[in-house]
Amino acid sequence: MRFSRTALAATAAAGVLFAVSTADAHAIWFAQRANQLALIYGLGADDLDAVRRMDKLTSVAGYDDKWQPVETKLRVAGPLPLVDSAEPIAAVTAAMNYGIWTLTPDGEWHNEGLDRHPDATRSERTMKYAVYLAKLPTTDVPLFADQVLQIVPVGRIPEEKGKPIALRVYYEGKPVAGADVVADFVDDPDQPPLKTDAKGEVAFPVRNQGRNTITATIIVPSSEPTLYKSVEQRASLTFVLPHVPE
Amino acid sequence: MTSIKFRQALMAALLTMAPFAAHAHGSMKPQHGGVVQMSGETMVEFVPGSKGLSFYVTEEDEPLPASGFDGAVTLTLPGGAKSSHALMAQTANLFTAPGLAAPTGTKVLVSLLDKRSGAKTFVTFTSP
Repeated sequence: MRFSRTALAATAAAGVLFAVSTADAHAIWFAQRANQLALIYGLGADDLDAVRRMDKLTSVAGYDDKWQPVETKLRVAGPLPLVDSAEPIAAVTAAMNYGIWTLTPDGEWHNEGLDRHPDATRSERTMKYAVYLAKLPTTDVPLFADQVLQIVPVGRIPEEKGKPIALRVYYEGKPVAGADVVADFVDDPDQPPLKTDAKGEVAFPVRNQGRNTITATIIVPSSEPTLYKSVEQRASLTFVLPHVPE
Repeated sequence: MTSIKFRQALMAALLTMAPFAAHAHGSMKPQHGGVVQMSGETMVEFVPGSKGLSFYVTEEDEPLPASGFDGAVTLTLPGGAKSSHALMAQTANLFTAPGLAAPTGTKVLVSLLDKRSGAKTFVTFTSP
């Protein structure tokens, strides 16, 4: 885990971030299914086939309430990848490399690079990250090793919807300005995104008295420009506000 | 502000309904003199005894056959020593861990693996 949060100077937008214009708008996040925790790949209410995409996962990790690693993996249960941990977890993370995609003039997307489609009008690699907090944390959430882009609560998460939550978005361990933040990716995915400020921070009222899945997206330059021009990095943070006792 | 007041009123109304809603997931009263914890819909009663530890598993007041689960218990003593043990499925909804003791303050973590679905349930107690 990377705990360093001392670099409060946000990564400058200039030269690092492109305007976010997403071709692959999907994300990964975790959600409760039949009292188990499932990895979801989707967009809004579209809960797509995550099992088929499990080979694109580069990591899955669990942590206890002291943020110490807990042996954790995914197991396939029918159409869902479910979290399988050796002990109760306070947080689980995942990372997915969704590969290289190019858009050719005929409007078709290809899971191949510019070397195969030099006439492509768009080309990118898409990376997806997810953090799920199984209960509202009472200590600061660390930066997790597999989360190149991560949304971190600033201070405590409120227990009631409508109250303000402050978040900071980190890219490669540093706060990032200009990230697009969607406050409710599952139930209101088309809302105009908010932007992180110069400190990489954003604040808004918590949307749901239940599951909240927040996403942050940035576009960064390619490290392999002969194959693709940019990298879309998308992170989700999911937590649940408790309902009144039954 | 209006929505906050509405929510507070709604929560107050829901809280007054709570005693009725609780029946949807069964009674939280211990049936064997132990202590009860719930995870999701699964209720586990922990009964420490002189000959070992016992655990009873129910869901919505219905006993769940112990034979349907692989059970384990992990004890973390107040001093930090940790040990894991398989639970023995007995008749009906009873699991036992013969010969084990959980001194006061021991963290008792029960893990139940549903043999049919593979679903895993964790329930944690602090030994009384």
